[in-house]
Amino acid sequence: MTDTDLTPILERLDFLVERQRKQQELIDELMPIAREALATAIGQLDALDKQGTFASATDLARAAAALAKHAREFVDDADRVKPIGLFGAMRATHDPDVQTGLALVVEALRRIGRGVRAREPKPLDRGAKLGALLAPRRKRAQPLLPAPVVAAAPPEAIATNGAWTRDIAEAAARGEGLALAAEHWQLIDAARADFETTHASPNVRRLTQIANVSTQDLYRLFPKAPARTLAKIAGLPKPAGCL
Amino acid sequence: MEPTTQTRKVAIVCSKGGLDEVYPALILANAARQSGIEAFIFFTFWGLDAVTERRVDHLHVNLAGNAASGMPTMVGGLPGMEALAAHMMKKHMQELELPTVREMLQILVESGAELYGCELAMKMFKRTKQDLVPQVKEVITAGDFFDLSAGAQIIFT
Repeated sequence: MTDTDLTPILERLDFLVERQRKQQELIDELMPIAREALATAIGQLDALDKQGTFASATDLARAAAALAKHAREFVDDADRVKPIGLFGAMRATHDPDVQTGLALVVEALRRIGRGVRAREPKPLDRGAKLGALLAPRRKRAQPLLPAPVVAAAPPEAIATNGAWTRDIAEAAARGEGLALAAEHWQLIDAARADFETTHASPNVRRLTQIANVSTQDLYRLFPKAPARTLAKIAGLPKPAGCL
Repeated sequence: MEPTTQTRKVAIVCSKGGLDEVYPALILANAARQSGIEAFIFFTFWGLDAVTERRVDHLHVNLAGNAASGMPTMVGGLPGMEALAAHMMKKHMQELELPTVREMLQILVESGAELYGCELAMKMFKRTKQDLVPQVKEVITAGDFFDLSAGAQIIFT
């Protein structure tokens, strides 16, 4: 780009400044600053172009020149322009001039976007997108039983578990007001065996499934809080879960 | 936490018949029994559906007006949406090995919880004791409910 290319632009800008000065003092004050800024910017663009790093600067300058050319008419007509809404804007797109202008704006947006995107990491290709869509979104719900509660177990229960003996069970049962019969022992053994495999104290529902005992019998044998009492006697942590 | 009092007791009033409204009552009662707490459930109004023989296996989830369902009310109100939601919830419950409502009622009775129907609601819905599941102990009045719940904590669902 050479300075002669820019001359028409600067001339038009001068003209605009003249016009505005007559009408608005504010703009009158601002324009020289803007012009200075623009001149600086153009100078920098020029320098970049000379370095060959700004290939589209010529296009930009041409577009700016076209804009400047129409700016005069635009300012003249500005007073006669009627306000429009959304539908007015849509109707206006039938006008070939508007279409051309729109195309120019869209093109500018496209180039800006291209420049920004070039700096971003590459988005997923179509195959990868499809894969991401088809991948399972969530894991299937895990059954409540056996409940994963090892970590939640109180430490003293684990400790008791390690040193558990039948005498301790008898003593714990006495503490609960129970005398252990064969039926109780069968359940205690079943609960301890189940804990070995699931690492969780069986709750009432689990007990009815593993120990061939009815809910009714469980409450008969351990009338108060069956699964909890049983766990306590068997030296297991308190059972978790809602059932 | 271990149960602190020897005579703790809860009375649960189940007044709604949605799947999501019945389960909390049943699970709370069951948890109470497992914690050594006496429990009984009083089924009234739509809650009666949970203990009505021809309804108990077909409880639905109400979507319309249920903000938490994530379904717009207009969509939730479309025919078949409730059945669909109920189906999905039941499937999920099955995965969790949650007993059905009917099974829960049986478990509750075996655990020593008591189930009661509301006399007035029975009259309103023109139901008799024969229409109810066998797990229901008795059909009682509101006054009976207060006699039974003496000393109990009352939970309304």
